[in-house]
Amino acid sequence: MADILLEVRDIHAEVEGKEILKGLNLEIKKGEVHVIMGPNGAGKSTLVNIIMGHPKYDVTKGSIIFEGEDITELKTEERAKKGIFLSFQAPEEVPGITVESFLRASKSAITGKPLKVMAFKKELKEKMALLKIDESYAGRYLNVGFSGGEKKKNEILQMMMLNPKLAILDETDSGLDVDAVKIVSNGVKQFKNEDNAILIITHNSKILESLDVDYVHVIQDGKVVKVGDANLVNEINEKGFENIASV
Amino acid sequence: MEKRKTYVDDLDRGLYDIRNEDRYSYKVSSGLTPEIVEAISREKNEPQWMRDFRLKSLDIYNKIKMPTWGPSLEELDMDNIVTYVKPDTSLKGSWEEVPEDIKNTFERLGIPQAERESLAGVGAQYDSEVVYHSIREELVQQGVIYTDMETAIRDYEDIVKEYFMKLVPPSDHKFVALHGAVWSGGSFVYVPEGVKVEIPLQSYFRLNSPGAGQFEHTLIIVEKGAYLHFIEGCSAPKYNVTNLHAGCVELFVKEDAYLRYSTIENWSKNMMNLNTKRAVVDKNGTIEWVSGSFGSKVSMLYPMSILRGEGARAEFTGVTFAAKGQILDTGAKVVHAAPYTSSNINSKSISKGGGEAVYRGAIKVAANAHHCKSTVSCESLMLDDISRSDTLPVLDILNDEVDIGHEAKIGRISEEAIYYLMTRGISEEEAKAMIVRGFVEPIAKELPLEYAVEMNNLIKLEMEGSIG
Amino acid sequence: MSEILNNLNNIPVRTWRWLGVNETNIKDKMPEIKDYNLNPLIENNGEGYKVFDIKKNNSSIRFFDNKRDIGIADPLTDLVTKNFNSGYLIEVDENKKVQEPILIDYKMDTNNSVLVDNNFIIAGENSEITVVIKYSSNKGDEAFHSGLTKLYAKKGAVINLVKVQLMEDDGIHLDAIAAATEEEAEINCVLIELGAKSTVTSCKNDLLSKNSKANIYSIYLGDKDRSIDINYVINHYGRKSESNIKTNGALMDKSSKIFRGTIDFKRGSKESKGMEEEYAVLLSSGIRNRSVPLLLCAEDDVQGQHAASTGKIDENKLFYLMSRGFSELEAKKLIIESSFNPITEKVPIEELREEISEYIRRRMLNV
Repeated sequence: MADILLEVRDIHAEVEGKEILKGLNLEIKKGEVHVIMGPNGAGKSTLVNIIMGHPKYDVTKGSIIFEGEDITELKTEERAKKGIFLSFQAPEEVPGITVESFLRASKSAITGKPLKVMAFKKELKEKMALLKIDESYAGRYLNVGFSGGEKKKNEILQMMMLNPKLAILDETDSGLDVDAVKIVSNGVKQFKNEDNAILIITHNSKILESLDVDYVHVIQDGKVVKVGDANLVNEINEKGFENIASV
Repeated sequence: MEKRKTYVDDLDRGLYDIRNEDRYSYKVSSGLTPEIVEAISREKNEPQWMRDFRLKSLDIYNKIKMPTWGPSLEELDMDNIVTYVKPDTSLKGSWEEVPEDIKNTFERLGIPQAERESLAGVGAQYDSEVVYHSIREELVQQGVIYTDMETAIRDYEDIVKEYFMKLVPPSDHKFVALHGAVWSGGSFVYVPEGVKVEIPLQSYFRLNSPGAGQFEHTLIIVEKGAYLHFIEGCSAPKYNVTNLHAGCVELFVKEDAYLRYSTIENWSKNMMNLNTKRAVVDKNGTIEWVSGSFGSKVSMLYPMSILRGEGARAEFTGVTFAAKGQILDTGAKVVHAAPYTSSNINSKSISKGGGEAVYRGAIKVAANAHHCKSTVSCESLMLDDISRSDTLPVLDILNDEVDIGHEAKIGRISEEAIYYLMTRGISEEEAKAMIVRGFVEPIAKELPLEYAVEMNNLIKLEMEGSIG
Repeated sequence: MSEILNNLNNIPVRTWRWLGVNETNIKDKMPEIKDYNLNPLIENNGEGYKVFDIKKNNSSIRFFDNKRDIGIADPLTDLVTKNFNSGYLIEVDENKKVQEPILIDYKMDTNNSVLVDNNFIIAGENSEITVVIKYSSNKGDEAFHSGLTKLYAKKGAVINLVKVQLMEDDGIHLDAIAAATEEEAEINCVLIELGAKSTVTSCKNDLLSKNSKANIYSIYLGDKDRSIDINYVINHYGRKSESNIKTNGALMDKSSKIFRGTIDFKRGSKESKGMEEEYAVLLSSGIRNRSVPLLLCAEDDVQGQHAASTGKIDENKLFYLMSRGFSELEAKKLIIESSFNPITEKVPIEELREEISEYIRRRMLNV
């Protein structure tokens, strides 16, 4: 099936010796929007981190397949080069490197080709304007002194510049005010097309209002306990996680 | 102030390790006796007062003990240091007249290119004599003097006599006394009142003979209301025999004057670098030090600023990178000797591969220095668990109406930051190098472009471990 | 015994001599060491611990003979070990958490003006104990105190040592604390040393094994021509060890102080954290304030930080208090006292806390 982008097969994963994921399955096809929800400690961030290959997390069983290739053993930067992008919940501050030079280095590393400087600058300017990020941010040190909302917007800017096949958005809308949520949602919507896919981890549903959600997965205790469509979000918001019937 | 910058091609360490045949016209036998000191003075045709000064310094040298703190200097065997080596040419006025191989060395280091395009004057020192000195016409007309020390003693004897080793007297410590006895070469700069030297002046030192010592003396006087940016760069090729650098820099910043002194010390890994730098600043004057310490086996380097005029200011920005086999003991000292003075020290250090970096600092506030302010910030990055990094600051305050703060941090590159960069396609190695470059960025941006490039290159080489 | 003590409070790494912080030499002559005949121990043989008077029975201190070299080997340690005239060993049983603090109240008077105390605390596994040692003297007696306290916390134990020194202005106070902390154990030192014309104090704690913790909280108050000399050293040997040094002080008149605080991360102390803060408020122009916060590191996977700051009282703060009805003098006192409070609050005996506050207030009358 050529249009399956990501397959997570029976993943068991642990961190610091403690097992968090206990047989989790997930399948994402091109063009789809998936949402992961679940109570705290369910394993949402673990899932995100093992897809991205965070060195602290161990996969003890199962595999991760991206575009038909087993990437379970691949290093993080290799996965980025394959086209997986993670928008962090708490992006790191890296003093001494500007947003612009960082993006240039990253894009060049991912495409494996040297950049055409003028084209890059033009694209950066356009995307910053789209996300209503002031031009001056390009010259600021990466995330240093940025407010929570500014950091999140900067993550989405990176996503739009690096153009991944699979974008994982980890709590991207938390900490954003109403206007910022609209702008970010708009950016995500613009990015979304038939060839890429989005995986959103979220607590609340503001960002989902402007996207066509295909599947909602509820994770509890390291496993997917229920899969539904967009309506499941409302059901959870009304009834809470405990009352959702298990699969 | 408009600054035009040149772009020097990326250098690699190999470029620094060129050696020329050791052919010299005159070599002093090893060991340090009054006869040798007199021979040096005679060769230079010095006035009597300088000869006497040298002999008196030798006397002091023999009496003072080695320092009781800091890194071990036992590798230094003074009897085997040939202190004075004179290259096979006399002072030249234009670059074309300098002998081919000496010229090539400097040409490969990019010096004449830089001189042509952005610097107002260049002094290039090769072993113990200054080979080439030039200064732009306009500056000469404004009364700016930029020449080598030997010429300065002859042509500007009165000024030199008034200032020479008054700020750093031979009694200060053993290696200053040594310097006083055998000093050779170096630059003399005099900027008259109100003159603003728009483009930086530069000197470049290079040590070629195995086992030789470098004892250049730099004396800079910036008169009232004047402005100068001076750049000093240095390097030496690798040899097995220990080389010694005991230079001395004396900076006099008068009322309302401004002096920026930038340097990248990149001596080879067998060098003992015991340089003494000091500035005295008068009312409302400013001294800014920008410093990168990379090479040498042992470095003891603590630029000192004496703020003796009201409102005087000192700024120090520095980075030290200690790699395998290196002990870089560096820092800064500031003495607030007048009211309303201020100082700011920003020091960063990196330790890797078994290297030891030490920040050694002192802020002293005299009893009369009310309303003074000082902030010191030290940050140390450890890149592995076989290196060392120590922070030894001292505050000595004798007045209550002050605002003094010091902070230091030590740690390693955050794993989360590396992971973050890796998720953006950057390899772990490149991520570390990026973060280290970002760490030293505050210093890099204060340096002229070619120095910033040189510094980034040095860091890149150190990170890759290709410098032996 | 009248020799002068030299080379005390040595800094772990020497620096420029002209700063005068490498070590301390006592200029005063040492007095004759007579007997100390008062009984300072208030609590004796309660539940869960044993107390030995080591003047009568010193076999129990053999425990410390083959411990790694705890403490600083210097003339002070030597003096006390050979010449002590009072001392107790408190040994806490395994798993016992002693709630009531043990108080050793050392008073010095005309007949007992020289005190050389040598005290030991051994906390058995998972035990907990608080010991308060107080030193005080009478005016005119020229009291001399020289003491050494050795602490050893076994696995999982907690020792809280509180030292309160309220000697008169003509006294001399030399005090050393030497501690070692095993796995999962914790030693907290609260040091309130406010009196005596000259104090030389030190506290050294070796964090031997993983998850061990050391905290030092101290305050000092310099006035007249008092001299205060402090040397704290925390050595991180164990993984995930944590340390915290917090010292607040105020200096006025012609007093002087040297603070040396060293956090040393030894190779192998991975994932350890060390934090040191020292703040000194300066109230007059004749003072001399010296600070040497040292951070030594041979391990990359650590987090070390220190901060030292000094200066006069923040003018904005003063103004704010004055706008609420306080005079400038009252405002200053309030600000200084409030900087001491977080640390004096850690003294577990209420009467003693009040005595300390009274003492501070008395000393600050002429701020």
